[in-house]
Amino acid sequence: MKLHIVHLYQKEMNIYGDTGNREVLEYRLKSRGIEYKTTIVNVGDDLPMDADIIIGGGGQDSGQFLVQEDLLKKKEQLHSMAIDGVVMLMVCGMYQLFGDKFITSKKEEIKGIDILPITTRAGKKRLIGNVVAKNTYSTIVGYENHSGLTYLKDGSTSLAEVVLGAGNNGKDKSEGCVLNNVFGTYMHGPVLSKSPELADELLRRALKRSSPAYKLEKIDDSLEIEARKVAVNRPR
Amino acid sequence: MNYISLFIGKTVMLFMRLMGRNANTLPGLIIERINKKYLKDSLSKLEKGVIVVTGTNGKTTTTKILSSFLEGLGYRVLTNQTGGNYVRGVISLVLDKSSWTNKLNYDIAILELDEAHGVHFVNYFNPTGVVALNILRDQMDRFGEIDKTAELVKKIAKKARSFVVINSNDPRLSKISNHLSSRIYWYGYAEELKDVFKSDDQHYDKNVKYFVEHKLDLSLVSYSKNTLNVKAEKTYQLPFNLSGSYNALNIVAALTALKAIEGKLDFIKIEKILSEIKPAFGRGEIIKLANGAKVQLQLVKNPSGFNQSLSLVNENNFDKIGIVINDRYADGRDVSWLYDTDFKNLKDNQVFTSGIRYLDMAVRLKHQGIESKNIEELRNFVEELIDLKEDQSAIIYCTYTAMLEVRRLLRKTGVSVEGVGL
Repeated sequence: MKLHIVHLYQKEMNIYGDTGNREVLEYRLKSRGIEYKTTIVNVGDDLPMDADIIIGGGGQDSGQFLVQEDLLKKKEQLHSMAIDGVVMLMVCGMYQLFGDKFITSKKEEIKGIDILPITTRAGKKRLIGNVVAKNTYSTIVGYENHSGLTYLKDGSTSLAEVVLGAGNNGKDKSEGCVLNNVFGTYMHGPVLSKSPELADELLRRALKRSSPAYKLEKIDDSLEIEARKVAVNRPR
Repeated sequence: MNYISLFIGKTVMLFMRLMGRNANTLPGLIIERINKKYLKDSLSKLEKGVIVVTGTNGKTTTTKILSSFLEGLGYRVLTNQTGGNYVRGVISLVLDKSSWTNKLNYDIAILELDEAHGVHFVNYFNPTGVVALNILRDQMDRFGEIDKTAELVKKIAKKARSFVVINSNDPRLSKISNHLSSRIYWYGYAEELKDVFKSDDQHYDKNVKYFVEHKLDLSLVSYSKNTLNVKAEKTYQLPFNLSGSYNALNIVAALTALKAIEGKLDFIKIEKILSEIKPAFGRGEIIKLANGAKVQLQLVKNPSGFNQSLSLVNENNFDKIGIVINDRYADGRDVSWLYDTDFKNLKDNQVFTSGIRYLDMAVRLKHQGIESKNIEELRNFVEELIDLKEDQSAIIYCTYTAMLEVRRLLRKTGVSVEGVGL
């Protein structure tokens, strides 16, 4: 059993510590003695067919612009991987690009790859600050900084419900989006650093594909959980 | 009108001080409201004008070094060394340093201003020169994006009447030069030092090449614990009292600004001034405890600054390493930048954490395989860190408000210290 983690566009989209999500996953695999390898895929690189988990992070507008064309080239492959159940976690800028499109403040359209049922348009003011959100298995805490307002299309599911902060659009209390094994979120932090439940959810889903009987061992998360207790009580 | 403003401002300042309050902001705020011209008219009296030092990292240290150079050469220098690096702070500074007869007895002002406040300032007053140090990821909760920060620096530099000093190794700053009409002086470091000055981009892309686009007026060739070599028309060896590669480069930035102001560099005088220079407040200053043990305070604000100052651990043998992370406004509310910082070289060291977000720090270290002792109560943390034998030393990395608290506590613990300004 060996997991293959692919980090998409580390070079171009790395502005907010989201690389930490990869380090958290690696740490949690290492602690359980599960083998893994990591591949970094930047603009122009091939996307490995055997990826089990693909992660991507936030970047600047200029970074998003740099990766957009390359991402469109990888669109079909990513679609078929998503259908195959490859686990994906996309944060902020990459989350937006996994939707159908992003309409900028100048009414330009940035095409997304339409894997997640979301659509994004520029808002008037940047949404910046701490975020706390909850779903059935985890309290998720992080930090958001985005100008795009993202709306879930009919029938799609959010990752969590906002308790503090704006989330997808500041209006409907939704944060992020989940479809099959594809996860999107606006939360930096990195989001997995203080949500071991979400990190394990991703690992469990990834492992299930190759080893359905595998049970993820419990590891000591007391430090992460204590850190979360502090973080959820910080002001916006 | 200016005289009335001065009178009001100084009176408010006097009363605030009599009440034991900090008068760095309010008097400036009042005058900013009632007399838009006060600042401009006052600063216009300075014969050599105003130099603005801006950029992400190194403003305070560079401002201090440049001021020391100029003072050593006989200039009377007005500078905002004690904080207050925003327009209101500058107005308060001018009020404070003006006589009651409205005389400002200085030749030149060296002002450290961050990118946002710098833009605000140049709307009031066109500086003689601007020193642009670097643009790095920092406080994005305030500025949104790094590219936006670059735009701000461009706006400031465009207003320079005589010259702009630019770090040529910074790709974003290099680009703004096309938009400037005043003379540009370039400084930077030699290619051999590329790995010492790891940029944000290099952190994620090992193939990033040494970047320099312009012929350098001054460059840092090398540095060691006590000396640095600077290349101008020839190479000079100079004393280096501060620590860290970034401070060596800050000295070169200040030298380049000095060259722009003076038109030449007198290296004999410079050598003497540099041999007497001390680190700025919390920027690598070393505090000597009663028994001779040493504690170094290192301000950290962003990943590149933290990554660079972590190399101090390789260059010294610290017995204890402390990290204090707060997340108040002045620190930046977001702590995700700790994940753009690489702590691997702290392995095999005794690491202690504290501060409001000490557990975030502990989790970050844990994921990199580094164990830490985590102390919620800052007082206990400080007591632990200063529990050193006479020949031992410690370093404490702190965010801005954490640094202020650590200093306060160091004073309260009653250790007798030889440090500066404690």
